[in-house]
Amino acid sequence: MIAFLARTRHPGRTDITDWLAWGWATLGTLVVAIPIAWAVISSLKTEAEINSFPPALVPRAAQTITVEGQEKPLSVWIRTAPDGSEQTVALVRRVGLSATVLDPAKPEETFRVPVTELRQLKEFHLQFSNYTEPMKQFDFLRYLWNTVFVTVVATVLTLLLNSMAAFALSKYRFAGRNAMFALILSTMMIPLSVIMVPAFMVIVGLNLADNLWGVILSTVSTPTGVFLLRQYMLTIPDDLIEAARVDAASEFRIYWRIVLPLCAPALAVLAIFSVIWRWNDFLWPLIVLSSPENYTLQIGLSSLQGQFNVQWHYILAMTVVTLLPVTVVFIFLQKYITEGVASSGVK
Amino acid sequence: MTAISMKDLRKSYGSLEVIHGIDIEVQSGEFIALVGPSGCGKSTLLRMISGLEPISAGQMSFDDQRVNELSPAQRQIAMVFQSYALYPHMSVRKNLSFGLENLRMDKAEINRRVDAAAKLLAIDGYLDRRPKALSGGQRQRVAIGRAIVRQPRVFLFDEPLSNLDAKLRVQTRSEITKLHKQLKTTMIYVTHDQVEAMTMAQKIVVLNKGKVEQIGRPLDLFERPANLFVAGFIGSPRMNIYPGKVVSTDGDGVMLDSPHLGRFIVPGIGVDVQVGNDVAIGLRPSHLKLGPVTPGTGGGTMTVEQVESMGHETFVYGRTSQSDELTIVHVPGHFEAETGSSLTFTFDPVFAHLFSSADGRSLKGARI
Amino acid sequence: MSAPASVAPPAVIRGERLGDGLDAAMRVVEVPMAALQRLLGAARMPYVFILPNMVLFTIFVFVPVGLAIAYAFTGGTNLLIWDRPYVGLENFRALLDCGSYLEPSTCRYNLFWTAVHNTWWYTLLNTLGTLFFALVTALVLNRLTRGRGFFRAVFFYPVLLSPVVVGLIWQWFLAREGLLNGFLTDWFDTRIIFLLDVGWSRVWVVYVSIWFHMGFFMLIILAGLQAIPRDIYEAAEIDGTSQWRQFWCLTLPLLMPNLLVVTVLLLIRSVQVFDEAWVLTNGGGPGTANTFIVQFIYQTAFSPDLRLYGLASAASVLMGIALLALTLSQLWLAKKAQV
Repeated sequence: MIAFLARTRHPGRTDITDWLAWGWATLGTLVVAIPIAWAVISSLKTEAEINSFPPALVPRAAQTITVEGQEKPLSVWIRTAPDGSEQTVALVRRVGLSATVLDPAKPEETFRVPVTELRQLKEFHLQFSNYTEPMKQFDFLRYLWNTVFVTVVATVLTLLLNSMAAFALSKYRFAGRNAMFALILSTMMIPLSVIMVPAFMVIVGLNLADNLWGVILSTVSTPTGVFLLRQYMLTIPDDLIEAARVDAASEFRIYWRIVLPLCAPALAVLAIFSVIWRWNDFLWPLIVLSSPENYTLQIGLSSLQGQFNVQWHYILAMTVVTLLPVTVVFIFLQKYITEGVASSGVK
Repeated sequence: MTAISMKDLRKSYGSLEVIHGIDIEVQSGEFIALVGPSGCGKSTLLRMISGLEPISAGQMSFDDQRVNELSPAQRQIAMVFQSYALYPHMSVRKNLSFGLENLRMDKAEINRRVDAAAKLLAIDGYLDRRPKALSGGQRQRVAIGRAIVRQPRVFLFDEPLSNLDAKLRVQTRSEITKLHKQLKTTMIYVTHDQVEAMTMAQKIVVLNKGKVEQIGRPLDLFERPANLFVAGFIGSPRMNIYPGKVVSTDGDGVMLDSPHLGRFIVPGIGVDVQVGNDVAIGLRPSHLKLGPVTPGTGGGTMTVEQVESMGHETFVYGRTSQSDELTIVHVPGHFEAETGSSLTFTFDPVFAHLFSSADGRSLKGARI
Repeated sequence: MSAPASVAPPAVIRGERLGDGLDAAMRVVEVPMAALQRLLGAARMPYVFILPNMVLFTIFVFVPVGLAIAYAFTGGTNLLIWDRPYVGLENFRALLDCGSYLEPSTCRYNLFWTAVHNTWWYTLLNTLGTLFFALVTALVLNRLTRGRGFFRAVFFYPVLLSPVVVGLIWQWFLAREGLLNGFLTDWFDTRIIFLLDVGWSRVWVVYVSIWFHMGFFMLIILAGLQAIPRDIYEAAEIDGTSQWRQFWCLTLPLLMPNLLVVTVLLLIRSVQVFDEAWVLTNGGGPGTANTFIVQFIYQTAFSPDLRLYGLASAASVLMGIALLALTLSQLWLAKKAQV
């Protein structure tokens, strides 16, 4: 372990800054992980557990026992008698400060004890119904479907339209090319927050308000995507295009059969980004969509928060469901994503 | 089998003209080479023939039909690129069939043609590989195969051998020649390597700075270069050039005086040579001999700088007094000389080429 | 040659089949596109390729930019521009009508100025905080020879989460029954309702933003650090330069262009703060303690009882001008950094 930690820039020499570096990285990892882990753990707790304080670090539920002669399973408690002896009992009912209990070994005999003598036994328990219930109770599946629809359609269109524009900008000389490229890049400077009011007017004018296509179409053209793909296409030799032209391929066929397949790495990066952007989109769908049956996950989730303020067990479960796809994508494509961000500066 | 006719072809980018009016006639089934130094416009001209580069002015016809406005596909040409331009994401088979699929040809016919071309070029073993998995020579064959399957009217080659190693280049050279004999299709071949042009082509077009310097059979260019440029470009090693002056002319020939070569008479009739004119005298290294100057021959003395012996032949590089240019002498067999030693060389004036110093034009129908 | 040449790698064949399959499907687009090419000529095809993109950009960016400016000069609550009366500079005048710009309560639209003040403080703290943590983390990761990839991934991960998810995770973490209060009870026997306290909620909004976005900026700084040639340090090492001096005299000056770009990028992002703060604070609370400019625009335009599109657009235009200035300075800095 020491040897592993000591492998720093100067082999064999470990100074205080190396320890500080490791300390910082480890501490930072905890800072990142704890809130997320806490949400995941909490999402598996029962409603009673989630509202109890102080919180338990593991999801638990009351231990129960089925006793002959009792209709329902009874919760299990430890009774500490005044003489200090301990005894496992099952709670039948509780009135004020006294409780009626029985010894599971002798189910016929019930007796009363003060509540202060009782301590509840809990066992490890994962409440998976937090995940299944909202699917039935709320329109969660609907939100999920809407989000998947928006994400998939918008990503496919983004890849298609942006690559077409990038193809024109990288492989042709035509009047107005540089002006159009500059125009497209200039849209990077215009964030949604500045134009959200008139953009919504346009959506209303196009009769796309409260329509998933209103969310999709306005996000399809991205300057980032055009830029990324154009830079990549510039590295494809022009000879290939000309060879295809000599081979009697139409311009569209050159794009479709030659340029697009060769752009696969750049398309993959853009696809990853597009999926994450669309999956996480919040402000724009919030403006465009108004009826719950059109909500995306993010909007649905944030509306749940207002609606069911106390039902944290459901909200957290749905939060975990929402962050899961992005997490899976990240785990598998971590290298692509971080390198894509580092090299292009897009997010 | 297509004849190509180019009349006053011009190409300009904006106000910059790079091809200045070119006239070339290519006979049907001919193999012609476009040669010239880099930047002479030969590749641009080839791309104009292919239809990849628009023609600014002039007329290009295939079999008397104007093709200026036609696309490469409509002209039915096929081209082999210097980089081969194989589609890296397609198998060899797909590379060959792609062009035919674009033409919506029948599947069976495509397979037949691909298999035939593959067999012809001996690439039938690699049809399911990607180009990346092939050697340079194999890629080259695939590139040629891609052109063959199209059964084009004209084959265009853009320096197809420049990415191969020397041995493979010689081998492929003869294969392309063989292919031409077999297919009898018109071929236009661009190269900067005059050896390639000399050995392969039936006719050579020498280009320089966007103009045609000379068109002719390989031997014609070698023996009767029309100007100093062609004289210097064709032949390896290059021709020795010396300055000189016309001393007198009579019916027998022209008497010249050169500070490097002395006085000698070149027989044959000079074309409008005036006494007192400055001329450039060209002598191929193989026409120079080592030995004393005898009456009736020209010659000079040089200080040896370098001797390159290949065993069966030797090139001696030296410098005559007051000369900036090296003199190269070709000696058959093995020969040795000390660097810095003095050697006398001589030549038969019959072999001297004369060029006008003013414009580089050849002043005589050169003789052997 | 030597290899069993006739055996095709299955991947190649599979790829080819996929290509052919898609090819058949794409005929639907290809045939009309080829016809279009015959009609227009190959030289005009690039316009066809770029057209869909330009149309969408026009509809959803260029037209709205024009409309934003137009709306800013109109009044009333009608949505469609031709139903709205021209009011000149009235919207701007209303927004800027203030007794003292430092005291939002003296302004006609005090919510706007509250939002401006909140945004200003948020921007300042978030920029400095993120810059500090991103820089230190990048330096730390650049120093690590083992585990760099792992830690880089860990620190970057939050960037990919959605603002809603981040807001909810932290709301739960900071809740009355949350983990933090669990620890506070254990150690100090006290509980704080963080998100209902004006001071604490502001602190946590900034903290959560840093937590959320730090990884992105760290990655950019890390790329900048790794672009510094190693041999400079080796030369300094030979000269006996201390590590501390290496940082101040080599790393920092060489990283400066990169840091300047990051700073301006941070400013641009900070000014637009909305999503995660809105979710975390349940809509800008407590009261208006965490109401920012974008939220003001959103509420002014889309709250059913307000619908003051003109006023919202005027605020958008003012923010747009600020952002444009920042963006232009960023481009300028980026250009300088490249030289």
